[in-house]
Amino acid sequence: MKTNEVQQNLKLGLFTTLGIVIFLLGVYFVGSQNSVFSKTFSAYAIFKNVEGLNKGDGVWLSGVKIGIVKDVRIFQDGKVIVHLSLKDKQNEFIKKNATATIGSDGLVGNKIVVIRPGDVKQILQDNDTINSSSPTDTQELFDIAKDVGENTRSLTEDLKLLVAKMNKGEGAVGEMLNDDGVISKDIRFAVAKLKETTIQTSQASAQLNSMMNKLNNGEGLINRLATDTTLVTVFNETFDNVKAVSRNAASMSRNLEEVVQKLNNKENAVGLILTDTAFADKLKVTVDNAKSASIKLDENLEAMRHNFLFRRYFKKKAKETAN
Amino acid sequence: MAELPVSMKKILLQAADVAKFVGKTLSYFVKPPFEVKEILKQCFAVGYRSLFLIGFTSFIAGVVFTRQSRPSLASFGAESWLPSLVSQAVVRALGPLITALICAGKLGSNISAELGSMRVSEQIDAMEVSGVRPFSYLVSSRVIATTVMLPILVIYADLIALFGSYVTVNSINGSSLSLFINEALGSITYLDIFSSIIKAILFGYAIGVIGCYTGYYATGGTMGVGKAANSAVVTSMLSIFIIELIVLQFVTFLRQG
Amino acid sequence: MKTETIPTLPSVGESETVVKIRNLNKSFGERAVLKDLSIDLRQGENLVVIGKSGAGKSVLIKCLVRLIEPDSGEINVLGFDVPRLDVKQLRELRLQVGFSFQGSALYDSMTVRENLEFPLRRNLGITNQEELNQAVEESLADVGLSHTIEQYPTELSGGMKKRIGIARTLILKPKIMLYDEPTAGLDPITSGEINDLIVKFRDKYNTSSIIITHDISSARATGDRIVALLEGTIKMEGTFDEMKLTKDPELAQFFNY
Repeated sequence: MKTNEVQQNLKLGLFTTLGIVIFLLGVYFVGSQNSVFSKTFSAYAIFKNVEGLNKGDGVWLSGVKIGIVKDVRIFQDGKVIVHLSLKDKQNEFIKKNATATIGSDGLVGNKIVVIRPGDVKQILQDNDTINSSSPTDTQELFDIAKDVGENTRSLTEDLKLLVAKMNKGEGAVGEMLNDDGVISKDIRFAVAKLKETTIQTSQASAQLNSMMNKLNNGEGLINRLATDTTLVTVFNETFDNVKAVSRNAASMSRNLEEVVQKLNNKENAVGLILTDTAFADKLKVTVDNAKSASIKLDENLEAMRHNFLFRRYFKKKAKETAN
Repeated sequence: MAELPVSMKKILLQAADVAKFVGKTLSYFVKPPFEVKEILKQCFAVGYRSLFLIGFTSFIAGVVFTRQSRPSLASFGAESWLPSLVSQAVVRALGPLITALICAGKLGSNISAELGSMRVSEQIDAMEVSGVRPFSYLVSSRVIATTVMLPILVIYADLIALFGSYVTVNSINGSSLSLFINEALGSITYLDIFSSIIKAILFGYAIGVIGCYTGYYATGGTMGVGKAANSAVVTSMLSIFIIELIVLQFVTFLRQG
Repeated sequence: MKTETIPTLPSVGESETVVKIRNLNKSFGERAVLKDLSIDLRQGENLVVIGKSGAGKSVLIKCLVRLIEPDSGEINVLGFDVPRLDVKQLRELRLQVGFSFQGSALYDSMTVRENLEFPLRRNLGITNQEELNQAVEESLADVGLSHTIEQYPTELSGGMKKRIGIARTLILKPKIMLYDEPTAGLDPITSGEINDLIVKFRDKYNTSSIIITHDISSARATGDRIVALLEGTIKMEGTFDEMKLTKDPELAQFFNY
């Protein structure tokens, strides 16, 4: 009777205590996983676009998880301030000039914050703000590529026209294009820039091409995603654009070089021929356009390099070149 | 006051009755004297005696859920996510839900039938006239027991379901326990744990109150007892899903907040 | 002596009256069960209330201990104004009024000993095991069932349960006993034993009792005075022999068995 009751209570006590112990262990482990119980410090980073980064997402340093995103808030001008909670032990590796970017921990994975440690002496302190570079999202990348393509096309057409006119000996360009004239320098700069761009562009398109081939041959995981989506069409369009640009740019830069040489050689009736001032203005605009286009193209390639779809490819490429 | 139709009146009176009953059980949580002995006895019956059943079902649930979700993750090459997927599913939803549904079936019918037969055989009246407060002795002891024991059962259910999942994962690709624990617990947050405990408390309270209400007011002899037990199970299962939905809304709000 | 109704009982002094009911009304929904009922119980007598099943006999005695709230009317039991008692006074009243239920209402989850200890622990706060044992043994000896002390109610026959139910009620030494169909469903021999007990306890403890029955032999064996409850009110009053001579066809059915 009484012993029975005591026994029941003993079992109940064991059951309850064990349950609570399991619960506390669970809480402790979850806590240690989420670095709640270890000492932490706070850092902030401001992004233009966090691509769906969430509270609780990971923060990685050199591929090691060192903290979590504590808060994501839009503050002003649509900018987003991200509050990072980082393990205290790691802060000696993060320097004042560290940068933070948004990445993802897998092809279909969560967004993460990736910290590049930086190289100055001073280490990051509690509540410091880390420099950040905003990620370029894929759509933006394609838009820029298209933009550049169109710009360059119209630019090359203008240049073709100009060069044709110059070759025919029209216009007042000669007067303006003295050896040390501003426009002459501009043009030379543009030519140099264009050359560089051409090389880069053709490189990029070759790279993209080979990547596309690989994709089509079914190499890699990305293929499954790519063959199924409209992404392929966009890719192709982009490649065509880039190719066209590089062809145009190449021929354009040859033409321009010719012009400049001719100007330098003073072998000319050019000065007399290019009398039209309106045309001269147009030329100036064209040259500016060419400048900005080449800069954009540069940015474009740089952005591609950082985009997650291409990141792995470029890394591999870099390795190959290094070897 | 305009005359209400009889059926409408009945429904309103019933609602008032339920509200009073719920209020009374809540007030008895904090109002002494507590029937400590009876509460312990009920806790034993509710908690300890359900452990085997809960453990058995949640182990199977862990195994089955793991095996079923493996192929779809494997097709993404994301098999390594299996532990975190299972642990989130178990802690957030499966554990509490399985525990609550099993308890609704086991405890809801048990409580309702027990109190129902005490009611129809006048045992509750007998208690009342012999100066015992049957509400405190019978009802609130049971409601307290289910409310307190359910969360503990959920903890066991979670643990055992995860263990089942680990056994499955281990048998497929021989991954280590510490990797499994790391992966499984890494994806769980405090919000997950505490919302599941709060959910379990609400489930337990609902099962207790519904079982007691249907039993305590059973009428019509042995048939009435059967009806009471049946309606206890059906109503508590229904309310478990409703609570689940409400808590989910609330937690989603918190998660975004 | 025959009267149609008895609104007052002039022959009885107030001091001797332990239960006084005046103009009691109770209806369930549309059905009036008790209509303007008045009745007195005197000190030391066994008052038998006979009537058809469903005539409201049980309702009448349940009103005395507030298991059922009357709609209107005066009920005075041992000086307590029953319809207007607060919780504490009601407890005091119930301690002095024993209620033997039709189905005996033993607690199924407890042994006979625990059943008998229950009111002692609960109401008198006795925890001394020796004291408890003594009271339980004495009470069981009174009903001649000492050997059942460790058994559960389900192991006992209907007559034994009834006797233990009575023993459990009497263990508190109440001043008034209310018997609800004490012999219902029992064979004549067992009924006789119960009847003897009722008479024995009146003599031994000087209790006043109201015995509800439709069993006319029980009425004869136990009743000092008999009243007939028909259609919700008292139709006739007298000793058994007086009642037997009734010309009322409805009432005559009881006596011409």
